Amino acid sequence: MSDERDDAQGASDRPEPSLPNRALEGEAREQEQPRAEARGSEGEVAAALKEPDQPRAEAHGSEGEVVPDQPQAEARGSDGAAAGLEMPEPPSPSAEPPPPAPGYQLPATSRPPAPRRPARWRRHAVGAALGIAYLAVLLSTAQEIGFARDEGFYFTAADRYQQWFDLLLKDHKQATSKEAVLSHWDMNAEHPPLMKVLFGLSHRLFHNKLGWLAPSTSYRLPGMLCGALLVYLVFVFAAKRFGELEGFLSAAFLALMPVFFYHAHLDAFDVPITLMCFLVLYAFEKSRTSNWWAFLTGVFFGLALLTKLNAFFLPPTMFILWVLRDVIRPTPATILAALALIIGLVFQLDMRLVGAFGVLLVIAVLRASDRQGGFLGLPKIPTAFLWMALLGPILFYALWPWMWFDTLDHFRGYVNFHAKHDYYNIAYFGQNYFHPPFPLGYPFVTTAMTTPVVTLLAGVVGMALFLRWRLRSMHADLAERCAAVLAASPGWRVRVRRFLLAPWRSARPAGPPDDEIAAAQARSPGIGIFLAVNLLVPMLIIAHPKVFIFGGTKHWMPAWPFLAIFAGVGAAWGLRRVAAVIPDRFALPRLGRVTVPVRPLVAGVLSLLLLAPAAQGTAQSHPFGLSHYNLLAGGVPGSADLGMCRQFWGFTTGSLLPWLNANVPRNGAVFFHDTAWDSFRMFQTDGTLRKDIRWAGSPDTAAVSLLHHELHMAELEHAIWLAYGEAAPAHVLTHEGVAIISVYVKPGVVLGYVPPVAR
Amino acid sequence: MRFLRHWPVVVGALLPLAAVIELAGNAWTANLVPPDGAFAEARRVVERDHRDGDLVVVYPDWMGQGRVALGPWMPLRDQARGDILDYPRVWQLTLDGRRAPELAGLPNERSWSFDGLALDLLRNPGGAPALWRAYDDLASAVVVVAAADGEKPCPWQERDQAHHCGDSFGQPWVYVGPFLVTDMDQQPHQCLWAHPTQVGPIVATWNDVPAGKTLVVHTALTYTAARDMKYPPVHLETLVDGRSLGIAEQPDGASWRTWKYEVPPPEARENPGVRQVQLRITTEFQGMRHFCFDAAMRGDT
Repeated sequence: MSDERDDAQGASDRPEPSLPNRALEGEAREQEQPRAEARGSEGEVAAALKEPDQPRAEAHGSEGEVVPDQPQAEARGSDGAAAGLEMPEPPSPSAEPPPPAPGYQLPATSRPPAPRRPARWRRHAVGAALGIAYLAVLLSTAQEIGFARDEGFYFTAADRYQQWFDLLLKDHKQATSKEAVLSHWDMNAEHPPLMKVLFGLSHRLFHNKLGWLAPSTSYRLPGMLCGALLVYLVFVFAAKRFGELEGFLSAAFLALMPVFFYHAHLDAFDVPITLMCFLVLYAFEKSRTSNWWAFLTGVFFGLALLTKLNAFFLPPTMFILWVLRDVIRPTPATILAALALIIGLVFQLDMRLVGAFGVLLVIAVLRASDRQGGFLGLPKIPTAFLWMALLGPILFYALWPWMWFDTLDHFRGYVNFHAKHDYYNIAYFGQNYFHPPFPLGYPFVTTAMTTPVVTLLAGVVGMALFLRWRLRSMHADLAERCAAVLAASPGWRVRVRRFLLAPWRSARPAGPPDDEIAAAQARSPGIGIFLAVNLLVPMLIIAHPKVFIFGGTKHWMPAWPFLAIFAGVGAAWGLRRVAAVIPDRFALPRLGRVTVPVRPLVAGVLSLLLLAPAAQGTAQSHPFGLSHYNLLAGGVPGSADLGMCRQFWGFTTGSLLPWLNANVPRNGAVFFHDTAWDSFRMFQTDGTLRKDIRWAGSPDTAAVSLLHHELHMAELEHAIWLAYGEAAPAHVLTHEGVAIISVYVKPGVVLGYVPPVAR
Repeated sequence: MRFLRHWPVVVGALLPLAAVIELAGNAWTANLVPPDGAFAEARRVVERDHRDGDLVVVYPDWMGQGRVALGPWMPLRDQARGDILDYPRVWQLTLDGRRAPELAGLPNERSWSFDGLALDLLRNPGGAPALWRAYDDLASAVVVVAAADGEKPCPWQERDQAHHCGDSFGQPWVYVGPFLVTDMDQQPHQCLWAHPTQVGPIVATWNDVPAGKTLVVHTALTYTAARDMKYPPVHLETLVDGRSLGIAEQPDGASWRTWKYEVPPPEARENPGVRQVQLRITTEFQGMRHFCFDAAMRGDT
């Protein structure tokens, strides 16, 4: 991807005249404060930043490029480079970070070095290395995870779609006939085809043709590639905007989310759509300065539509982003109207009142606009929106043969399948929710209980840093407006404005700047809003009491990369503060002039320490990823005590295969409970389940019955008790001591496999 | 307050500290449930000291190894019990420091600890087998539907051990027979299925019930019937020797319910050692009323 040219340009060109960047204005205003104050107040830190009279071209050079003659290049060569803790790189001259408050002096001991943003090639190389390493781990652990229900359906659908491609190669005309298209693409038509086509192609190539992978792993490979690609993209995105350390930590925090690690193995759509959403938003972010990326945004959006339904939520999310970053200006009226609207929505006030608040907000936004160009005084509509509107539907239609005939009916069927889906059961604090209203806090609480605690804490720190920066920016903006109003000639409007702006009359400049956040905001104006909106919108959608909850936490997975980036930023910020109080080097006089680079060593160790709980949680959770809960929930046993969802999809049968192979009598029938028939078949195709074991549709006809423990499955377990006349399981598959599958054996059945005698 | 200037360092240092705590915490929770050896030890003790009539409880119920280890002493009847009144002694297998809520207050007779696994032998002072239980004595009951146009008999069918009432009026689900209900709390209980009908009250009568002091009645709706919260309750009236002791109400959303009635002294009965117990089940609306009940006579005469 040739994104670097844009980066370099972006640094120098931004903001475009026709694309006013409100987020930048605060900074610009703050820059107007005397520089002498900045230097005087933050002496060495300011000196470590770019000297203002140095040639600007150096800062405009392709970002992160080492410029040998510059002071920071020397700093990069220091030992701190290994951990990304070296002295700061100057922010872009188009928007320097705000100077500190007058009189503020950062304690010398706690002065943090600023992040380093890596060179282009290095950024992509490191990101690719992380992605490849992740893919290797996924591949090496894939066979240990059983097949989820949905995976089974996608195995079968992938094969069916491949049959159509065979027909296409053989007889193009027949393949494109209505009969052929409908008979091949009707399978699993409730989901778009892109990933299923890739699953099938991968199976054909890596199993059938090359024989490199087991059948199931070959189907799963595209999903794993999506996971690895996402890790790569998160690194590249975060490293470019924040720094190398932030990029590394963000990518690692994402990769080491236990539930993400589980999903990244599957031939399912959740990780792919997370990748697609990230890709669309990444391109949208870059499209602020590049029409090529605006075009790519449209392409990626089309591919996202072909991946999963979540893509339909991208346009409104991006619209919100555009409004918050480029349209809204933090005037008192917009703040009050927005607050009123939020309160109205949260407390579910009368919809007429909420609507009135919405209208007020729109009016306030329009009035606050600087009315430069654009319709109704609004900034220019992003070109990316136009490409999305054009390419999205075209790609969606052209690449989904199911839509070629009876298009409206098929599209309606696709949407209605999800819009009118049956509500599923979901356990939450001991209660089984099976219809609305669903608990408002579900996505937030379950995210808090399944994400590693340090990742969460670091994420909270990261969010707090951005929030603090944003509040300071707004504070400065309002203080300036207040000063202007005070100087204006009196009138009733001025009096009203004076009253509204009174709190900022005696406002003093806020405290010290956060170097990293300010620099990141300067490079990518409104980047905090970008991260926050993309984190919150997927979760808020699920938080609505009437929105379906099935599938634990996976339905807001597109939010996770942004949580990881917040965590990466927060963790790197914290590490730099700690590193700043550690001596850079420690002399060893006995060894002559040898010194030990203490700071980078300690920083490196601390970085790994921050990732260690996530790695530990991921390792412990495997292969029961959906059963994982963090320390806040008391781990897996604690979550079982709390009555949280223990699993779904019946995939844990994969962990029971050794027992089944050893104990089910020859030709014995097994009731596999929540495991789908297609998944059962894949176990046998893979050779991990004995081929003589038969499928039983009910406990009555089975020699052995499995029960996947979920709260709402209790009724079935009791039915098995009744059918077999006993309540004691013969075997229980546990995870950290918590029952995952109970195995019941029909009275009279003798366990043990006796292989046939060879003649 | 100068130290406040250093808050960024403090916040930064909190993250590694939290990492250390989380590492230790993850290791602790992963090993909270002891290994199989501890369960084998507990099994040996129960195998040696268990008596007929003892109840074995594994708590929390997600501790699957406990259910496997003590499975031979956990028959279906005990696991789907109505209450613990039948059992003079209770074995509890749990984690150190825990106690099953239904066993709260029972005094310990003996305790063992195996690597974090606690085995307690508890004494249940009021525990004694019931004098009579409707579930066990269904065959001797006389069951009818008291319709407005006369009583409709519910003949006993040996094949499924049930009194079938609804066959004659096109409601085959109306019968009184053995059932295992999963209640609103997802807990199992053995009881007698008795789907009420608007044709008339289902009346089950036992004429020779051993006399006792207390009649304990249990009622429940199945989880799937009770969770919708949109149908009227089911009522069960309890009569002893023709005298009404009370009416139990089982509304949607309610779990397994227990009703205790003091049995009044007999009035001019030839054999004061036996009593007639009659249960009348009614509802205003018969849709999704997957109701069941049980009754037990307790205490000496």
